[in-house]
Amino acid sequence: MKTKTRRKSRYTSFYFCLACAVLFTLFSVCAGYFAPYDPLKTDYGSLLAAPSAVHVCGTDQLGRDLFSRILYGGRTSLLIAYLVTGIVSVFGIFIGIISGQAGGIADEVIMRLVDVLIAFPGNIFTLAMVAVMGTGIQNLVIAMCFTGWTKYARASRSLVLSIKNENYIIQAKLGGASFFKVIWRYIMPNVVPSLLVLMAQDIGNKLLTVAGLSLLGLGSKPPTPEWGFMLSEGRNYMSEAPWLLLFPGVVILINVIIFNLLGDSLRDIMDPHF
Amino acid sequence: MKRKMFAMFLCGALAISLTACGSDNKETKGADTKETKVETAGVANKDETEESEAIDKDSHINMALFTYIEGLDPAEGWGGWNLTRCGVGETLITVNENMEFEGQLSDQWEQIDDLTYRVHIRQGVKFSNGTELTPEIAKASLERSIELNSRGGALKVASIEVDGENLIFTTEEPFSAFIANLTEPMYCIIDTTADLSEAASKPVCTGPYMITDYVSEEKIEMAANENYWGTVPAIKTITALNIGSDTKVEAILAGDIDLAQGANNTTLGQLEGAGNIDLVTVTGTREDDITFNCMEGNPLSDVNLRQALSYATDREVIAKIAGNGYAKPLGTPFPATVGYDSEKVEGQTYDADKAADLLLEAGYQDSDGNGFVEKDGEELVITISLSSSSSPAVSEALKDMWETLGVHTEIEMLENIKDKRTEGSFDVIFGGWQTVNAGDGQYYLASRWQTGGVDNYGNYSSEAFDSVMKKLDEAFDQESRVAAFVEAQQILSDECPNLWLYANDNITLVNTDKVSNITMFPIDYYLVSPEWGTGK
Repeated sequence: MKTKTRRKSRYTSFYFCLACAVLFTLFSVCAGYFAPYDPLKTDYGSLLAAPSAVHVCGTDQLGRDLFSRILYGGRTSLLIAYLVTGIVSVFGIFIGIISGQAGGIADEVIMRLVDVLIAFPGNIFTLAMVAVMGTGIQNLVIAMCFTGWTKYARASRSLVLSIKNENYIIQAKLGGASFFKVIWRYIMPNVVPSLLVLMAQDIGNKLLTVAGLSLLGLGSKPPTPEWGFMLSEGRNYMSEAPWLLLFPGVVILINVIIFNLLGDSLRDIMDPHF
Repeated sequence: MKRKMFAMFLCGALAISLTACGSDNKETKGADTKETKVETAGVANKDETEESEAIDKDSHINMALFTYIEGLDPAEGWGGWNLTRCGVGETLITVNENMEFEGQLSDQWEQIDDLTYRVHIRQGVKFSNGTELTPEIAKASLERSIELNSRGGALKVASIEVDGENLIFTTEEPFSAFIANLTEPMYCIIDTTADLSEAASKPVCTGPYMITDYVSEEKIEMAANENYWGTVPAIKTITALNIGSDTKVEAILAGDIDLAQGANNTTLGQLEGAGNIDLVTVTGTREDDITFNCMEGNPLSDVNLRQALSYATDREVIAKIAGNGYAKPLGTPFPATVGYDSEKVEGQTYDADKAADLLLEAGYQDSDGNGFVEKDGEELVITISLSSSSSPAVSEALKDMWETLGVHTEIEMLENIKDKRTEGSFDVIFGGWQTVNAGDGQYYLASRWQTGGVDNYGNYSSEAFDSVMKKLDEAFDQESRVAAFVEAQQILSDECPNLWLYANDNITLVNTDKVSNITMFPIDYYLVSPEWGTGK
């Protein structure tokens, strides 16, 4: 009885987080419908206007509507976070499974390469790469992908190792299933769900990384709105127009919390103890 | 039960250890406070200690300079600017708060003919180490700066001779801005008989203060120079801290510094209600502009296109965005306050219709209807390059204004803007310059727009401008010099190698409880003076 209630509450929290995440994503994707103004439209008559009925979140240093910029900014921020998480998880999981399943020299080589990449502090390495390749969203995504896939490779490899000697895998092999068929039909379905937790939490991390790098001026190009870059622009007006920092900051905070909680609740649901 | 007991034991142990830590902290903290010190010093010494502490506290100030430049050697880069800002280095002749030349290490000077100047060295001046200033040392110091500093060639000196108590300067060609150029801080006189290996961290100079400690990227410590030839200052020690312009206001409000030069305009709003902080402004001599790449092959080498962009730029708006009320729009190379009759120049202005006409004249038209103009089927794209650490607000406004005209504009944020500037691989680049670098505008014009000038990043070249600059060099009376300045400004305003955007006020924040009797100089490389008092 107790277990049932627990399970129910876990599912409630999962659905709640999922709904929030979907809602934020929807708002960003459909920013064109919800935004009251063009996010790039300047109004030199109302620079740094405080939040009011006309401009819900106020205006920025060029008189642009902050609320519309936050909605459009989500497109860039969330898009990068989803894209990077997507690329690194697919690539990382693929490499990890191959490595675990193949074993031998291939496994050694891949894992040592992973060790080398993990040895660098991720964010600093990304920062250095962007600084060398030049700023901009494209380079930011490349740099983040380059450093982000290793943990998926490690996690998926260890999961593969834990199941590769299970009877059903051995039987599949004996039954004549090819290397890739074993991976596709028998290993993937057992490995991927556990990694979904990692992916959900990683979206939050990526969101923070993008915001951090944009704050340093290494992310999106002005005047494209992006949450981290909006913080960077608002920095100089901290005392006069605190709303320039407050609203984008709160939005980043909420999103990161949502994705982290989503990951947590997903983990709880998948935990076989419950 | 056992488990409970164990938990209770753990809680008890934790509480005890926390209490122990607490009392430890108290003791250490107590030792740092004044009361403890006074007590240990004994009752008899109490008054004395308090008195000396009071003096120390009052005669020391912390400050933040306009920009924290690395190095103190006048012969290297901009090190001399640190020396004059800190009141450590002095030049033969200086520029006072009214923008007039004034003798410093020289008490009189005269021009003998078009090429020769006699400068008399002030007698009885000693360096902070006690060495007497002689014409020989002054000559060696000047020659060292001319030889080592990349800007040394601008003085156009052919030879320096010692003649009794005088130095005789001969210039390579008639050069009317010679005396003005001698005031450039890179010609601060340092003791060349002292150990020159320490010139970058502890140069020995003649000013009211001397360097006692220099920590790269952190601070410059100074103490009053007891050998100073003028009045020995009342403030005995000064520390110049490396504080970014964004946080200077916070630093002075928190009491970390007592005086700050060049705080970011957008942060000044926080000062409201802070009664002891004075905001002193004097119309500055600095300007902010953008440089167009005029090199052949770049679309911006077309003067019509540059003019079109100039007419499309609303400087009133730009000044409002950038200056937050502390900048004035500027359409000429010099702000009107500098005194080169800029009001007689027909400066760059905003006129959207003219901009559209000129763009058409340059051959650009929006033939595919995407809102951006093309020429020969190729879309015109102008890229504004700026450092990733600077605020993009002005660039975004420019992009907005130029795109309204129909010119596709991109903003590029770079980690290292220097290379791009020196390589000349840019379209549009930002800059902020001191227009009367040495109390005179000749250097600013010559270095930035004369063919082959050291700071002519945009590769602008105009025969008409070069010949006006020659005329300026050869004009020795003020009237014909100002006329040449007007002519030069007109050429630049017309041909638009740059767009002048706004002139910043020179802002200094002063904690009046700690410092008084401040003299404000329009030129920001002057700051500390021996007359500063110790507050209210």
